[in-house]
Amino acid sequence: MIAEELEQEQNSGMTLSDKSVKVDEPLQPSSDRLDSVGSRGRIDITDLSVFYGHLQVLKNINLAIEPHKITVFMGPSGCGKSTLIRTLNRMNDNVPGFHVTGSVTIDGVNIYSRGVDPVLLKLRVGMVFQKPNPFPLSIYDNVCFGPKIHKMTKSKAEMDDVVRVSLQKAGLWDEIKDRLKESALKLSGGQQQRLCIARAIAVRPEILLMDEPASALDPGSTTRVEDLMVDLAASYTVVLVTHNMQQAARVGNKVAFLYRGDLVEVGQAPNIFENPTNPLTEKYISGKLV
Amino acid sequence: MARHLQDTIYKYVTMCLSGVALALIFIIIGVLIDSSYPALVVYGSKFFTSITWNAELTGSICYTSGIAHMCGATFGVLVYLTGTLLSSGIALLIGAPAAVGLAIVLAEIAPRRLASPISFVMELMAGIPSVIYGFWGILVLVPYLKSTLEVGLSHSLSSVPIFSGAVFSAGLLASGLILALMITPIIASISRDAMRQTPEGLKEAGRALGLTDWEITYKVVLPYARTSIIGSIALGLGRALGETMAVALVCGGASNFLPKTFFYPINTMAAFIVFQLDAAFTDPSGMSISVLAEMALLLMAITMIVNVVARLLVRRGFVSRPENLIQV
Repeated sequence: MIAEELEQEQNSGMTLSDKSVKVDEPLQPSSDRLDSVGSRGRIDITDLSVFYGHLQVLKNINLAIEPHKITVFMGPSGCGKSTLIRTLNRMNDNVPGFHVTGSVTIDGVNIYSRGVDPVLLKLRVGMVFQKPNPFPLSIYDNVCFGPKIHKMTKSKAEMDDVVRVSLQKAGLWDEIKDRLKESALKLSGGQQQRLCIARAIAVRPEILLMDEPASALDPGSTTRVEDLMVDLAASYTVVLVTHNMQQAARVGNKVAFLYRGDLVEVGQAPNIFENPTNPLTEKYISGKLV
Repeated sequence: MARHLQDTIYKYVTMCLSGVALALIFIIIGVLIDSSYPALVVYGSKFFTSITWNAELTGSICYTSGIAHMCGATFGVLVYLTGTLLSSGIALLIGAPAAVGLAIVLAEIAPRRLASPISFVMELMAGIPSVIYGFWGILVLVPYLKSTLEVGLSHSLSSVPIFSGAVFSAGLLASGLILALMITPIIASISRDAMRQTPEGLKEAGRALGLTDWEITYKVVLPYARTSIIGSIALGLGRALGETMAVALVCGGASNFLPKTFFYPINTMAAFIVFQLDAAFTDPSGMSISVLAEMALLLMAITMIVNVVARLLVRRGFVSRPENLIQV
């Protein structure tokens, strides 16, 4: 059942609209949104400031992230791009002193409002990290890890389907379908990263956050992951953090340039590189900003 | 050239040193087997099934298969074997879960400000000489058990045979508790270190998949640290089996009867060897020494079995599934 949906989703580029109530409850959007195809997974960041204790790392960010687009956060080290992406699924909650002002809404619900369960939120907002981090388990067990914990399938056959479809969507199935029982740690770095993407997809999120997913990979693997991101954007809202401008230009639909906690400029991908309006952006693009 | 020579010397010196350790084990085993040979010939399997230990030191010397022993003497290890296994078993049942729980608290839950002082005290506890545990056991634990805990248990659980009947001052429960107290810091500190080795990336992966803190501990951290945790439990059990002084002080010094309840006096092999060694040297036939050597050999065999079983558990994947988990 789930696998069919996943497959359908893959073919039609539609997001799932009837996930289990348990998952949706805390983030229930208005009903008209529910029915409109392809509008799920919209993120609106409004007047967002983020603090670690007294240190303000993000200042008054306003940004709309649209479904089925790749939105890129770029900027030099320490600009706050990683903090911003981790704010979108509340991964920073465990950092001592972390707090936010302003709001981050997903399909109209503020994820920092009371009543939103940060654990369930992560089922809608998946994440892939800089360093591939597969569990020291088999390939199969890595992919079914999330669905199993959240009891998303009813039978072994159903789980098999979820694993297969997730790996297919991550472009890994053909390479490893005969060795699902082998350790994930035997895979190459690029394969491990695509496995992590499959693992994130398997819990059926609407939004995929990717925090420099290719920065630890060789050029060939990087290309594969970049192609994959473009494919994934058909089904998911993709948010990408990168310090690689070429990558931002290659895959980004919308690019946001951050510098020292400020959102300096947002633009459509070709425009921002060809005609940056802010002098800071221009300096960064021409490699003069460290 | 001189530097190559240095390497050669380095290589052979370290090889010799590691050989010493290996040789020592074989020498110890050899000596034990050699010393226990007379006892094995004379008493055979009766040694393992009898509960009576009577050296008959004042009698006359008889000969069996040409080996001298005191006429009418009986040597049975069963009381001491039972005491050793039961007290260590109790220690393991109480100590291992407590230690792993403590390790989880220290590695995952407690903030550094709290974890550091607790860790410090815990490591201090691991280093306390065992005679001090025994002394504390006699002064504090045993009187408390006799006046409060054992009385309470025998009142409320009198229908359960192992908790019914008379209360003794020192015995099985006291030994088990003292041993639990002694092995908890050992297991906990090794397990904590292993859990802290869990890569942050794996925990983040779990968190990003919507795992709760408990699920991250149970599904990510514990499987990752599994090998070391099992190893530390084996180490703790080995310590409990061989513990001599603390148990000698609180076991009650039983002989010739098996424990029927948790409150019975017991005796362990290690403690009994210490108790008996003086008298054994007065045995004109030398048999008393031989049977004690056999007891020591048995104790050594048990601790070795514990280690082998622990290794098998680690390889087979006791906690998680077998072939998938990479050994750390």
